[in-house]
Amino acid sequence: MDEPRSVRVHRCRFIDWTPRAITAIAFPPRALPTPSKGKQPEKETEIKPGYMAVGRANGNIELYNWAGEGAAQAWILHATLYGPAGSKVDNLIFTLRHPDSLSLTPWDTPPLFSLRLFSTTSGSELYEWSLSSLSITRTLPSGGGSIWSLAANPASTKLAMGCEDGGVRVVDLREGELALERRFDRVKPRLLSLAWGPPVLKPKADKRTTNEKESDEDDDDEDEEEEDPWGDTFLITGCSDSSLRKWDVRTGRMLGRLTLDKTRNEPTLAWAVGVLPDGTVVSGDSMGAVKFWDSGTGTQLQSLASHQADVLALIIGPNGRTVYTTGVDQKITEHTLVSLPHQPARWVQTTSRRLHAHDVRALSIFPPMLPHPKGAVTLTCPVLVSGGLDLAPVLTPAAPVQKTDAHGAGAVANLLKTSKAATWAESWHRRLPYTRRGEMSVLRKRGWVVCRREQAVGIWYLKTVSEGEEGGWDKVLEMELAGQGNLVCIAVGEPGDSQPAWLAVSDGGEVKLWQLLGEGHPLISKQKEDIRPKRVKSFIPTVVEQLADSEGTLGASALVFTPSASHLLVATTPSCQPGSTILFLDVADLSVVARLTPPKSANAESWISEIVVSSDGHYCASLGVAGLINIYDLRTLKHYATLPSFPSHPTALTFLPTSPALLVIVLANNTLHSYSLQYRRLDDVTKRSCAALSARLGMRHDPILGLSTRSKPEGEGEVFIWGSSWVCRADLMADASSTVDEPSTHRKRKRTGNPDAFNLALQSAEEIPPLRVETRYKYICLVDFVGGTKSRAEDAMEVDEDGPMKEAQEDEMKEMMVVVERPVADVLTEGPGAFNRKKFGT
Amino acid sequence: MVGVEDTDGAEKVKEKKNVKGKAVEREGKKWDWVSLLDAKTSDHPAVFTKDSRFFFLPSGTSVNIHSAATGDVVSTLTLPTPTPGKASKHRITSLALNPSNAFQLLVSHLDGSIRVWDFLDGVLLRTVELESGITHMCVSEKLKNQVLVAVNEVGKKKGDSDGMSVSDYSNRFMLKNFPAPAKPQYVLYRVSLTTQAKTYIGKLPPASHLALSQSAQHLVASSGSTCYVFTVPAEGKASVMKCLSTDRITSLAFHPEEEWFAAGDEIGTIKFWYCSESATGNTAKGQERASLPNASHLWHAHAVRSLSFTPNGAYLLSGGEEAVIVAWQLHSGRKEFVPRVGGPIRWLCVKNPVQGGEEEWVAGLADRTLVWVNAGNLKVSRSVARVKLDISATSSEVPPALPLAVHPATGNLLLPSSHPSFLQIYSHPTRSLLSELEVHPSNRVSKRNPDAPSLPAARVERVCVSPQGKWLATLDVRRGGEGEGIVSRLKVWRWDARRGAWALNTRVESPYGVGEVTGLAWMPDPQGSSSKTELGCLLATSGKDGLVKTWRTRVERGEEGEEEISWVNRSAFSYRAHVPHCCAFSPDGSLLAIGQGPCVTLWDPVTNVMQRVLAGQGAAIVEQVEFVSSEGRWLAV
Repeated sequence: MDEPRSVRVHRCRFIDWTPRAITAIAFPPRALPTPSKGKQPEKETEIKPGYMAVGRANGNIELYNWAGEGAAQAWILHATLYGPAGSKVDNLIFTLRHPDSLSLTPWDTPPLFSLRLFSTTSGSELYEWSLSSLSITRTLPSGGGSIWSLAANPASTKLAMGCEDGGVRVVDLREGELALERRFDRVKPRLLSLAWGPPVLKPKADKRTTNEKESDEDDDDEDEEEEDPWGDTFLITGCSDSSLRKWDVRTGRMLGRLTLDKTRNEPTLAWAVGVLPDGTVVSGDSMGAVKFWDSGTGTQLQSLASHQADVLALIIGPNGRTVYTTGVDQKITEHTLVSLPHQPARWVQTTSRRLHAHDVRALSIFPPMLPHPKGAVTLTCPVLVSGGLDLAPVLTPAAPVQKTDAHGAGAVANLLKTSKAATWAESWHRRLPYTRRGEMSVLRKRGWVVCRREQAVGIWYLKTVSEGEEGGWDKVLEMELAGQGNLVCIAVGEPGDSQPAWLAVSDGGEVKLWQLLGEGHPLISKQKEDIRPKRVKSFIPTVVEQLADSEGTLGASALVFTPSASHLLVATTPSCQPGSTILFLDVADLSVVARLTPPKSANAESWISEIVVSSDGHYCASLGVAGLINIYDLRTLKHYATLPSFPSHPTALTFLPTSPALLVIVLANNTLHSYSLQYRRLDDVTKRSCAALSARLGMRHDPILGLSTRSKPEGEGEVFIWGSSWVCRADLMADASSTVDEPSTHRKRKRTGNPDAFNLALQSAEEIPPLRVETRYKYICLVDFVGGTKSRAEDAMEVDEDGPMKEAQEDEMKEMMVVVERPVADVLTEGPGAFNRKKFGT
Repeated sequence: MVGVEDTDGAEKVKEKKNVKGKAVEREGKKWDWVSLLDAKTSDHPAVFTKDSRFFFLPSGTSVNIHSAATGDVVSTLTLPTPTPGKASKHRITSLALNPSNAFQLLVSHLDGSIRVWDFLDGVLLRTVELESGITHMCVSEKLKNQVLVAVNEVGKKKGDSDGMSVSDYSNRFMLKNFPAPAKPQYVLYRVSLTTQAKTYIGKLPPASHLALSQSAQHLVASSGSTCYVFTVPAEGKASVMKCLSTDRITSLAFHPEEEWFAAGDEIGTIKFWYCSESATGNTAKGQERASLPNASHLWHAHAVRSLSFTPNGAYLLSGGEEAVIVAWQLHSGRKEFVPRVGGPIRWLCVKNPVQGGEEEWVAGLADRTLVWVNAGNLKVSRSVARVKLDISATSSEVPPALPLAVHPATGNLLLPSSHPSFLQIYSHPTRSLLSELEVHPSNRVSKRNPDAPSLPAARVERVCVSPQGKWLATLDVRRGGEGEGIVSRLKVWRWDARRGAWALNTRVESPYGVGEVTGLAWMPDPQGSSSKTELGCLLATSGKDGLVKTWRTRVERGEEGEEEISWVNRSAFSYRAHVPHCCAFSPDGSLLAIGQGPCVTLWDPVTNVMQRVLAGQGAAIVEQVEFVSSEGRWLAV
């Protein structure tokens, strides 16, 4: 048998789950300063990082949230917004819902409810996303063909779309609106990029000055009258005919044309434009040149040959004194405005770093540039975020060069804590993981790994790992699903004695249920590889019929089977009726056993991102995107408890298998908490070990992606915690139990000689030995266990073990750990090659 | 780099070179010697006169004035009272034209003096004495009659300050002495040439480079990997900023018009630092660790040895071990290259165009060759070789044997050249390098990376010219290499009088197998010196394996009847198990003396009969044996 402290590992790299390239990155804009009403100007404070949206090539938008004060994990995946099928996020824009509200200063981090998120796909529609229900709330057809570019004005009151027909369309956003306002004159070329000029204060009526000393109420009234104190100056479009065009926002007329260099036959494409706070226009084109223009005269100020291939993205630093550009040559180049004595200030290409392995598509910076002279950021360390075909967003501190005293004090601290240096040239970057939980799951009894794709489900069968060997595998099923949107969630139900395995899948609008016949099912062949999915077509009609208020659709945001697979829990999406409810369904007759809702329906709109069920099927816990955790008793079918809110956002939930009355909650800042269901409060027994673990894991840069437990754990509280690049084993009950660790785990590994049997030290509370974190696995998508279930049917087992199984006598499939990895290199080899430069010495 | 540290090894090399001088000038009892070249090549770039007709190069304690057209030395500015023993103390560290008088040359010395020369008349006009060694000196058009100097104040006692007559900085002077005296530190002063008064600017750890901006506002000194940027106001205190870099800075240059400078470092990066107003303005007291905006550029694979801006500020020239001059076009970032200039570059400077000519770049190579590059077509227009210095010999290791010989027929000197497998032929009367002899063909490849050991090259270890000057025997040895032992080759060259060059006649691969050859000697001719008898002369070699071999000519008749002479082994003999270390023939050629272990054996070279064993005292091993004068008394060392 297995050594007590070693685990067989099946390391999988064959699962061809394809994460998609990053195509857009957006940060919420900063509010423009309200025109001062004679009050003292706002003081600059530090800006706290907030949300970040990352658009992917499969149409999904990932919403990241800052992990918390001083957290090493930087931005943590908060929620995913699943896009329509076959789409690709082309543009992604945050705007402020109430830009003229006085409560937001440029130094505030706007909360989620005051943000609006817009995206365009390659189609002709503009989507507005609801950030609470995580779905598209409004769609605006452009009326001019596909939308090539999108930009919001600095005041967050207007959106400009560059359309296929060559016309810029302005969309009114005021007061939550989304309506076409006007169309500019059409031009021939495509409008590849858009940027708004710096805002100007609208000339006020003279009464303003007279009213200056009046009461606040009057001021408020005035604000209603002149709701928009900021006016726009101009709009710049980057066109596909080697030119930039400048537009008058008021009249929609073209004001001027700035001509780029071009080769003889091929027009240069202006992929990226930007406008600095002083009105200088920056452009990045397909010849790799970054050009600076005087917007008033339309003359080129400077041209820097910064890239060897197309410049795809450009972002202006928060102070308007730096410009970062990137593109096909994978380099990110920093340009700095240098003012030398006796010389006019000029732009210098200062540093160039290659942080990516493939084309860089998107570039963004936190805090965003505020096109106002008062918006200079000096207290916060800016962070440059870049992403492209190599999947992972890369964060780099980008503090401006600054003066410090001899001891280095006085500089802004590196927000990411990667290194002491915070300037972009010297600092270290951090790569956010692109793997995430929920893309894959296992069927323990069968040894299957189920992978969710955008529009398909793949199932693999894992062969048992024998001593000193790599485990084998077989692809058993690939199922294409034609749906309207990308798959949101899948769930698999363990096969029982007489019933087959279940597969439940949901895109945004529909839940589908399959029986996976095969493997031991009497009706089908006994071939292990042969799975016949049989769709339960009556699922939706039967369920909808039982719901009085249903509109006939049933989309799920989370799905889970109970451990015995007798019941299915469906968390409905907020957009369908009933929304944000958990339906407890009996899969045998598809009857709705219960509708579980939290007692207060205050946050009814919230998207339930995860449901977990305890191993005895007694309790289930749901995690809403707002961060609330509700626990329901599945026996009494009642709401059981609502957990107190945590200092950081919860990211994962797990029930410990042997103590069902214990729920482990992972927070965004890599801390663990345990909740005792018995006492309905945070557990005392495991509190200490949770705190010790949190202290250890809190320093790790990779966020905790998940927890998994064995079906027959060794200790009471044994749990495997994994992130994208590490796995560790911990015993949460170490305090309570008196297990003594054997100190040398290295010796054992040598003796077994199995490279994949790894040993992880348990953490004993007495001396708190250093937590052993196994870092040999990278790009981990899943850590879970298969086999070793005691409830496995004997007869089915015997059928399984056909072939010359020497271990046929041994009762069952041995338990092994499944580690699914998806290295970025594997993903990249499938795509087009990267731009390659001649290197020195070749 | 203007070297200040004289390591032991460098001194040794220098001594050996001096021996050469001695060999030439053996006159009188007290041999006066002349050093042919400095032990270290000076890294100081050439300083051109205003009209670009002449340029100055420091050479030890004197300044050579070269003609810009030919590169020849036209004159030398020498110290009036040279004290040869203390030459290193008076070494020139920096040269500059007087900003207020273009016909005056300022020369700073390591002994702490700045000498003002009128170089047209060769007259020393004035000497400004500072109390400690000046390592760097900078001048600016903006600072008339003033120079900025870096002074090495190591080991200075507090009491010395009492003797100072300068009043306005004495307070600061006390401050300066406050830190532990063990720590060497450089102090920057502004020195007035007229009043000789000096003003304190700042202090820093030992600096390697010093540069001044055109406006004289900023002064940059590099020390290790740090640049110290001093903002020097016309009056009052200077403020300093530390700009940290990752690697040791090996070159420094200020832009001729704008307030930014370029610094090249050991790993080949060139960083541009911009002294922007926001960063340098109104700095508070004390040292600030500021980061100026900077941009790095990478082309060089090795340390950037030299940086120089063209006077119009449009190009930056850089050079290093790659032997490539890189011209960085500053506004576009494009690069142009002048490859294969001939050797590692030590310094670069720009010669202004003269009368309709084109701008030229001058590069000083590590082997003291001067290379002119036409800036218009980026071609090497000419190169002037001077007596070369072995650049591969590091100061720490002295090669086991230095080849050195006089060719009696021409009176030329055979010296080791810049590459170990080359010999250079030097004519002392004209003080010119005549030619080079490639003893063993070799590639000149730069190292893969700065840390890699240099490739083993065949080194000419022994050279010997036959008394008639008809034959030259060379021995080149390659040590090391991958797993191999020692590979040695004996080559015999024949003097081609018509062409005035040596031609390879015979090559003997590994005359002693893997063993080392320890001695090489020609048998002087017996009396009659006809061409026939020359054929009868012998070459003797001794090897580590104990054998002494003699070699003779073999004459073969070619197909067309002409004589083909080659050298073959004639005999081999040994004495006991003693290893011969050296061999020498008596002047009349009748005796061959071999130093074998503690004793010297005498042989008849013709019959190979041992004549006598002369036992030495003690166990001292005979390392060199030489017949002195014609009597046949000899000297063993």
